[in-house]
Amino acid sequence: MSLPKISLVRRTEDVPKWMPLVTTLGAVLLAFVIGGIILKSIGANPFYIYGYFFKGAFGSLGSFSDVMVKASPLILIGLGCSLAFRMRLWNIGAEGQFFMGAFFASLVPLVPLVPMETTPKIVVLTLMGFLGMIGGALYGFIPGYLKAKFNINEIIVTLMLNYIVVFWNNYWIFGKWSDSGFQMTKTFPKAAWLPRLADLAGQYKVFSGITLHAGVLFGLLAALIVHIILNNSNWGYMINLIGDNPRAARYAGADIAKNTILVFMLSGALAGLAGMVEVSGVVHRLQERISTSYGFSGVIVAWLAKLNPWAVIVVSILFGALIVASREIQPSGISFLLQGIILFLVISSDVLLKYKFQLTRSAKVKDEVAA
Amino acid sequence: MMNFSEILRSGLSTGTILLFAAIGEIITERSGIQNLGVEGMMLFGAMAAFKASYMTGNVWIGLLVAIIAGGILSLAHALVTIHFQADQTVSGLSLTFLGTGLALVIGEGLTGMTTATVPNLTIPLLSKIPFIGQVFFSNLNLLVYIGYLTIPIAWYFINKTKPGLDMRAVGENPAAADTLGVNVYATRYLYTFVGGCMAGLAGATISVAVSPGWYSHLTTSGQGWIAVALVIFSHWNPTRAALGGYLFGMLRRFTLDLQGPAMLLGMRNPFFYNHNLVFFLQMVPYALTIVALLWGSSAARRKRIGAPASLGIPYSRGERGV
Amino acid sequence: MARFEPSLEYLYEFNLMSYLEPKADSATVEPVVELRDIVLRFPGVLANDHVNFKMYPGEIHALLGENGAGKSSLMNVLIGLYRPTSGQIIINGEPVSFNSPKDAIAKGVGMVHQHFMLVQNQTVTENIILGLDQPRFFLNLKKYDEEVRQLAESVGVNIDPTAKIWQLSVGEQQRVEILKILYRGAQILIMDEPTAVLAPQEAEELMETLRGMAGQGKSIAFISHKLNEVRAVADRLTILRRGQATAEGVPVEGMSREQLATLMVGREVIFNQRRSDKEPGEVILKLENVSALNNKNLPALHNINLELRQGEILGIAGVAGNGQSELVECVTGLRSCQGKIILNGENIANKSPRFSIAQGLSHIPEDRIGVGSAPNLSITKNVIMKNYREKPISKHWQLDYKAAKTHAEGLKSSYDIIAPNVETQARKLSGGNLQKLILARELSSVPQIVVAMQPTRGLDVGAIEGVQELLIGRRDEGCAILLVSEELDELMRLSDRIAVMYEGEIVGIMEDEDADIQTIGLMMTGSLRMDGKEDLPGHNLLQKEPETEAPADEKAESQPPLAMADPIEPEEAPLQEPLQTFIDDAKTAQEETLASEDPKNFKQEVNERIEKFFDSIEEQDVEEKPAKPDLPERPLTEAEEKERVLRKVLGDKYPEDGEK
Repeated sequence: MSLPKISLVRRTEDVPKWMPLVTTLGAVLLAFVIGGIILKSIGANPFYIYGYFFKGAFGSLGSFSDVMVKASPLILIGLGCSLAFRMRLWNIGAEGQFFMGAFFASLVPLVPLVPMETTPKIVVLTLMGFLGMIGGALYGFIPGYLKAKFNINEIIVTLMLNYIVVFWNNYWIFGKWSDSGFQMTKTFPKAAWLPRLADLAGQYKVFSGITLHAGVLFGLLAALIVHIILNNSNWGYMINLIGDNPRAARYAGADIAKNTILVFMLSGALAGLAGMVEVSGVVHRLQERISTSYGFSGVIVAWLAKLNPWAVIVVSILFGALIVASREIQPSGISFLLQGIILFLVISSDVLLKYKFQLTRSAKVKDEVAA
Repeated sequence: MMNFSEILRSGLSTGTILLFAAIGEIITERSGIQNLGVEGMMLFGAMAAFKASYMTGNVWIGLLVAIIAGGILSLAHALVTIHFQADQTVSGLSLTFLGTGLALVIGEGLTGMTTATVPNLTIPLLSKIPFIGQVFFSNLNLLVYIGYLTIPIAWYFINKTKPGLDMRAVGENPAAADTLGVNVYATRYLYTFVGGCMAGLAGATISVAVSPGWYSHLTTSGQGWIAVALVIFSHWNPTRAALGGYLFGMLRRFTLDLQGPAMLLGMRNPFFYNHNLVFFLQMVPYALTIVALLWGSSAARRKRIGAPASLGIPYSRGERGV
Repeated sequence: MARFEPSLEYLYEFNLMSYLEPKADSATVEPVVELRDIVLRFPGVLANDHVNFKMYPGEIHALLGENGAGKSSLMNVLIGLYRPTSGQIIINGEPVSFNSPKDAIAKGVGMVHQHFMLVQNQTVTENIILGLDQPRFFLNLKKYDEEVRQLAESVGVNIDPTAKIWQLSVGEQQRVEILKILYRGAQILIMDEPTAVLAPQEAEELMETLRGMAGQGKSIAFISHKLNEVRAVADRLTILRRGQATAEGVPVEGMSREQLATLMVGREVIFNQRRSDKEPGEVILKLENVSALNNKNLPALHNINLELRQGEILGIAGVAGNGQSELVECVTGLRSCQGKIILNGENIANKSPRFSIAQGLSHIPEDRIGVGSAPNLSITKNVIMKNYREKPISKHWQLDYKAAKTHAEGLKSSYDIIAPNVETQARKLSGGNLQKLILARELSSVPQIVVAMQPTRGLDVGAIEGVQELLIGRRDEGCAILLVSEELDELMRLSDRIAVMYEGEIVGIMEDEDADIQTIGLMMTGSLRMDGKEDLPGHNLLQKEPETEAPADEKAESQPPLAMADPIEPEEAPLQEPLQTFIDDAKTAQEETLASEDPKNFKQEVNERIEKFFDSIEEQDVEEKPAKPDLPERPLTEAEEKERVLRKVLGDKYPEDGEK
């Protein structure tokens, strides 16, 4: 008298191509169901909230443009994380690299590094983007170097750096560059603004008030570049090899320390560019709260996208919607909650790709059969 | 002027938070499971303790609820990593999100409220010892004393008891433990749960004892991550983790105290005159965590102490070896 | 009276096999274990196909078969690690069903796995009491240390209960495994390829212990694929081939090596020598005073000097863990070292692996899954590991996957890698096919030098031959091959010269025609060195952990490397003395010949002494024979045999007045 037992059996055959997509979508859907149950249990109305989510995100051109604005930094950060995760480097420091990128980019208009009135916009923006990437890369160098040379846990280092950069930025925001005592710098001159669709409102009425900026193009371009690196280059092959089996990679002649640092820096550079996009495209100043945990969401985006650059774009848009919608909804932690549940269920759903569930009858039943 | 014994006492109080979280994580990791969700579990525990004692008016219930809350949350990690064999790093991160999200959602509207707190105590005889009695045994939070007791208990449990032996074996070589009849899965569930409970307690130590109140995600402000770093730094040894925790607590207080006096060592105190420099002081605990890791790792290399051999590696029985 | 167990070869030579162990008789003695009609099915594999297996008290029952024949699977069924798809397990006449090894041990069945199941960071005692219900909570280790010590003494095993596992030699770790099972009261022991990790002398020592335990009435299942060993130690045997039994409980006596091999492999196996008939060419690789540390930062190599010539196979013999891995890693650039490693006139020591790859060095690593392949990447991505930077696979920074795929498909067909296609993940390949993939990658680039470590381990006989043919083929083309193996047979067969490593030193290099197993075995255990140096090796190395408690250290130091405890009568250890004398003699001989500065003489001298040594044993043996009344001079009659077995099994309880 005992119940049948469910056991996991490792799959020996390849799973069908559609299966990863289906399990992931299923996991996301289930996450919303579970999130709904939790919301319901604390007295909120999940249908109202989810309806509001959808409307708030995709209800109009304006709201969709807001979603894309939120998605732009997520794409860049998600790509950076994907790159690092391919090599099994746990760069949880995208948040910090994002802030450092924002800081470096802000140097251009705030110091100012070039005369803001006379320099052409394209030069200013290029310089800002470049500096943003440098800032992120430098901040990615620290954990990369510590990991490569001393094998220090990069998760802890990147997390601590996330906290440190906030204080670093605050020093400048509150002290050096404070806008008459407020917790923000003064607004950048227009030359340091990324072009927006709203700028075209003169010609096309439709675009008036549309905040979508050129940063999203950076995201698309970066996705293309990361795709080429990962799938068409020697370097990408090596990154994948190191990620799958570092000992085999070393045996094959790869310099793991060098690649650890390089990948960390490139990952940081992408996050830094996201920081530049955010200050130059959205807030137009450096301030303490420029990120609604983009860095952490980027980690989830990368994982949900299964480290695939094109999927990163799609997932980023979904998450952008989540962020946009949750801005206007109480309680404020909902977007965190949903992100947590989604990630949990997605990694759990991977078990379906690796294993089959099998019902085994209990020992006694089996022996009877055998006898 | 700065008062050394005050810094010490403050270090003992805030260090207790890290002590609970780090020792809990050590126990979890000694069984082979790495749970990076300490920050999430702590925040959830802090919220649960605060909300429960706010609603019932009874802080003990609050503590109990926090412990259970942390434990339950950790079971999600246990299920995903032990049964589904998911990556422990990613699972730990999602646990952080989940815990933070849950805490913020359920803790909505608690900010600014006050509630019953864990009382301070003075130990009768011990507090009479000159200096030591003053610093270590008088007018400290009850949880601080529990923290004192936790250190030897944890050490004894890990090193000198049969369940501790089995636990270490599961963390080092689960296959060996399994063949001898130790239930690897149950062991890992149990100690992941214990670690979660202690993280919940650590959270409660913040919200209803050491610095009472609910400040949403700022309540823990990264102490969960520092606790994880302490585990590595301490080489999975509860005594070292506790000392490290106290040291960090002292450091926090020290950086606060440093801002007070106008003169410091006979010089103008820069932090007093330029308040913005304080931001650099605030970086110190986080920067020091990195330094501690660096130091810990070179020490580990010298003494050849490593993590439990199977830390982070899922175990599945009956799979055909390759 | 103590008796001496001579070497296996020796026993064979004089046809003394029957001298060894009792024979069980199924007519009168109930089997202690019976596996009836066992079927074990894994997804895609039929591991056991209706196998029957019986074991009697006091016998050693060998399970012979190639790798993957289902020997270990069958035994894992017996200990409850796998559940049979169908079939019955009967222990002492009672049908049982095991859910875990814990259930099995409760019925007295325990297994020593091929890969030891030990917790490295814990002590011997801690490992032994792990998982037991007693003690419940508080741990009084001192008390248990004493219990373990007594248990070890009772079976004549020498071990320090307070030593940590990682401080122990492989042989000692194996003893811990045996004690672990005995401590749980096991009457039935399963040994899974126990000699695979041991030097010949250590293996003999193990045989002693096993025979002793069988003498105490325990039953031992002995899994092996080594014919000599099975013939020497087992009473009866069961042979498996592809999951099916080709022999069930057959007495070993009278089975020839060829018969066994045929039953095991299904065809005749040729045991022939494959040395090169050409003169070796130029020195291509030269090691000068190479020293290195191991992963624990302890010295692992000490002043290694070696030369490797074109067109020769230089075999490296040694018990695992004596510095072979570190040597290979230094040569291939995976480990930093002191000294010079000169390849083609260039010093490659401390250069990156990439550098040596560019110099035409191929490496067949020991760990195929952990080092030799990327398990989750496709066959294509695995075969381009070494040449992905070269044309046509790479164009500047770009990687041409089409060219890579063509390359992979070519290798797949020419090296006969069996897989659905080249996009198949490496981890889905069988052991033999994975090794083919690695060989394809390493040998297809026409290397100048191949460093191969354990290239045939874990492969079945057919695959082994294939791998060896490939290596020989390359050698005949003029490639220099450094072959590290723990299989002495393989080394003897393939190598043109054999170097022996012990404790991080080369203790001797022999031309193939001079090499004999006995001498190599002595060198492998550190009892003999033939490179003209005074000390036995190991003294220059700080081999043990400095932080070790003194007892463990002292034990390691004071115990002569070949000291064996006699499992039957531990207080008298007759083997120790003659061997020690022999070793002393050998040293004297060494000194004498060194004085005369004629190495050839020295070798002869040593050989003479080896002969003398065994002659003396023979004499000793003959002298002792009268003390063993049941030693057969003629074949025993059935009745006598029965009586002997029953005496053995029942011991004191044997009815002397002859009721039965």
